[in-house]
Amino acid sequence: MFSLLTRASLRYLARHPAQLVLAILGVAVGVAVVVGIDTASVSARRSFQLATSALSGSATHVVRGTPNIPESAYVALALEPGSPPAAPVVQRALGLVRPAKRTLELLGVDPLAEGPFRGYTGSSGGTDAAALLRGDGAWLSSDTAREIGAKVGDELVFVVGSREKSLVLAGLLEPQSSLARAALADVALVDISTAQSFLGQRGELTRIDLLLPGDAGARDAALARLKTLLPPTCTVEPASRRSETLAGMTRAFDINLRALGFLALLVGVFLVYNTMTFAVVQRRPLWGTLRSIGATRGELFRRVCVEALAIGALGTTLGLGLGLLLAQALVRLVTRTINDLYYVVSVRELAIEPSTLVEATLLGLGATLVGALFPAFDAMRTPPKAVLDRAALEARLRSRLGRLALAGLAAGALSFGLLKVSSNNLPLGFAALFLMLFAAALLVPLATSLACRAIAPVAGLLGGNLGRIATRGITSHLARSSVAIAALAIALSATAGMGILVDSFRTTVVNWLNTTLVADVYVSSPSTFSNRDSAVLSEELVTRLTNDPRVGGVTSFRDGEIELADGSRVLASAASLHPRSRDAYRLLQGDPKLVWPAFETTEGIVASEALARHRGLKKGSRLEVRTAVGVRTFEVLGVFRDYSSDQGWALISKATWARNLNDERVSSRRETTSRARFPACAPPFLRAKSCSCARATM
Amino acid sequence: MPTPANSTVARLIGVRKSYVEVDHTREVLHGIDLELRRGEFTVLVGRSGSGKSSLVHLLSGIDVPSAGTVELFGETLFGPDTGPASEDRRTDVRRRRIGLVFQFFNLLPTLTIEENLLLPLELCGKLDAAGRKRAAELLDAVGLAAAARKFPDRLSGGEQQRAAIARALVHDPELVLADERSSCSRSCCGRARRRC
Repeated sequence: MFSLLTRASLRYLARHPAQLVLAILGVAVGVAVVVGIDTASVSARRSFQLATSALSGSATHVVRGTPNIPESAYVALALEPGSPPAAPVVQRALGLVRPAKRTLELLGVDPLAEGPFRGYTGSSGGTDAAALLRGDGAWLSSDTAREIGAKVGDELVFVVGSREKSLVLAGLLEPQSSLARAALADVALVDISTAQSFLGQRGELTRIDLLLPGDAGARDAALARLKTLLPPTCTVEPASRRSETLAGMTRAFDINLRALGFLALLVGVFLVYNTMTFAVVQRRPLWGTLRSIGATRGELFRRVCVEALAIGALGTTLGLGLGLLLAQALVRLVTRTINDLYYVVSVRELAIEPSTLVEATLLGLGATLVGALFPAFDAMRTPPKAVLDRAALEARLRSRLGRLALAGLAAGALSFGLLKVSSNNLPLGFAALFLMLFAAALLVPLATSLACRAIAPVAGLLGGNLGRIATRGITSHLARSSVAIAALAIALSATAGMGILVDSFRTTVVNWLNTTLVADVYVSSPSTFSNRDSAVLSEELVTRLTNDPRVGGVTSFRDGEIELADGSRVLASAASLHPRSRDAYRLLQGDPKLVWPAFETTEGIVASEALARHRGLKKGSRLEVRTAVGVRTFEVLGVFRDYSSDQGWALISKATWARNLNDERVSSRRETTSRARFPACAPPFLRAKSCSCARATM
Repeated sequence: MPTPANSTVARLIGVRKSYVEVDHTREVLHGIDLELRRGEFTVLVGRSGSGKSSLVHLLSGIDVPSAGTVELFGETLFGPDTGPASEDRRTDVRRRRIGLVFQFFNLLPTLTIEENLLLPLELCGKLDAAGRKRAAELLDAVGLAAAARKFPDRLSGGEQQRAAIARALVHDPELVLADERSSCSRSCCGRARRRC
């Protein structure tokens, strides 16, 4: 079955089980981390895309507003003869608190307009007619209802803004397809008027779904006509863009996770290299015999590669299985991070992509081959006479120590150069770091040799001949020992580096928080997800607190988004800043004496450091923003240090917000705030004034 | 193509071999002239370090001389004008036409004795029924038929030596080179050659 040479190789591996297991585990762990991380993040992304596309139904385009769409825009569309099929939607993620804690997407639709868009909304199980009549009925999929332990007629309590509000489970939906099941997994379906009144969005829509013609000419004509019908705060975009934009936000997060996987694989490569070098060095007499009795260099090269591939295949197979197990655990952590930082997603099952498995298999086998390449070349290139000499490899390595160290220094210099130019480029930054690891690995043989030479006298004094043997043993087997030391150094440096990075970041954030948190008490609505508050505080609470004579001052915020002229969106906070709160923003660009007066009086924003980096902004840059009165240019007045959002956000004065964005909306929320700061107040009285759904933090 | 009877199998002319050591160059062969003919049995005797193994390595194409000419089967493997023949060419000559017995036997530890004998045949592309029959006959000739399925580490030093000799003969080479320590090589080789 196998050739004699293959048989000899396989038996060699079988006779050295510990060595074999170590190499296999090295590859397996690397592949497992790559598969685990990839599968977890792909599952989260896929779930989000599936839910988004399923909720969009067959809509080709979507009308969005800044921030919402006036209902009159839909009426104008519906009344226009020949306008494309359109369906109004009100949608918001809400925290369900009873009968179980969970985040659900409240989806308000108009049943009469839904026909061409979302077929599954019609399929239902039992119905509570009373709830339908009252207008507070919601429908859940039978799976979701079972999971939260609700039956028809039960109360569903949500947190909306700063209040708890309830709907009644009016009926159960029985999804007929897997797509519909996925779409309805985290959805509470309600009539659009119920959604508007429940969310306090009367007269406003979240979006309008459109079904435009497939033909490019007809589609362009329809888009042109829509522009004339819709108010300037509304834009029409392809239905897929929103999910693409949101998924794009997690790009840096994905790259960081993948880099960790590759680091694990790199350590695996070193283990394989070490094992294969050991296996080659150990069998030098055997290679010599084979070469002497007529084996060609190519045959020896293939032998070593076949052995490495056998190790790689076993390690990769094991790694794929371990990776899928790891993904089960990782997906919860990844989902939690995405929910905290980016968008709401719930992952029900792992999305095991064939491409992930193929990529991991190629990586596992490729990494093993890379690890075996040098030993294989070494076995192949050495002439038979030298192969018979056990010391030949060590002698060659010793003669190359200087050159290896020089190559290491050159790689180190290149790495530093790359780090200098890669400040905004994450992949380039990782390439530089990996190059630095490689440079350090190249310096290890010389460093090991010098260190052993330095400690040899001490070792001799302390341990006699045994001490000398120990240190000389390291230098006389430098080909193996230096690789083992390099692998250990990389693993240790990665661990120490991550620790220092996390520690430094934590210290920086603590310092930043100490500077930023200048108020005595913070009040916000409880939020079950996201690091930004989409919910609002009640007007009454804010008015009471603001007017209380014991409150020294208030800073209030309204968190939202602004849309740029290119259609992209930027997180923004409209703030009414108390003078003391300005100290919380440590300006990296701009003079505080000039920035804050301009902030209140001119059309400008102050950008967070992350926003400035992502968008290439600096003091004096200009942003084209879509407003209620068309596209307006906002000047970047300054850039401040911030760690609250990796995508970055813009600070806008409330006056600027009111002037430029939907007037009606701003006037109706002039006093409502999502966060309020009280520089000097007594906590007990504040607690008494807060309603049950506002959160006071000191 | 096999060489005719009494023809020259190997010829060395003015062969020198030096080794570069830490701080000097040591010459072990000082202009050797040697001719080996088909059917001859030649023995080299010399004290330790006199260059016997170096000469065997040159004759087998494993190593190249520092100077001089090495001809094997009428082909120049190293000449003053031509330099060394390619590594692959020398390997091909060795695998098809030379049988080597090493100082330390050098049997492959992960192959059985029978598989060790079959290996040169596989490398030459002659691993057929006739080759297997010849390997079995040689094992019988050196008295190791019963040990065919054993691994080398289960054999005594003498048995390993006999197996190594059988391996050197299995592909019917035109030149058999046996390095020292093959103490029983003469009797074993003779017996094996007579019986095969």
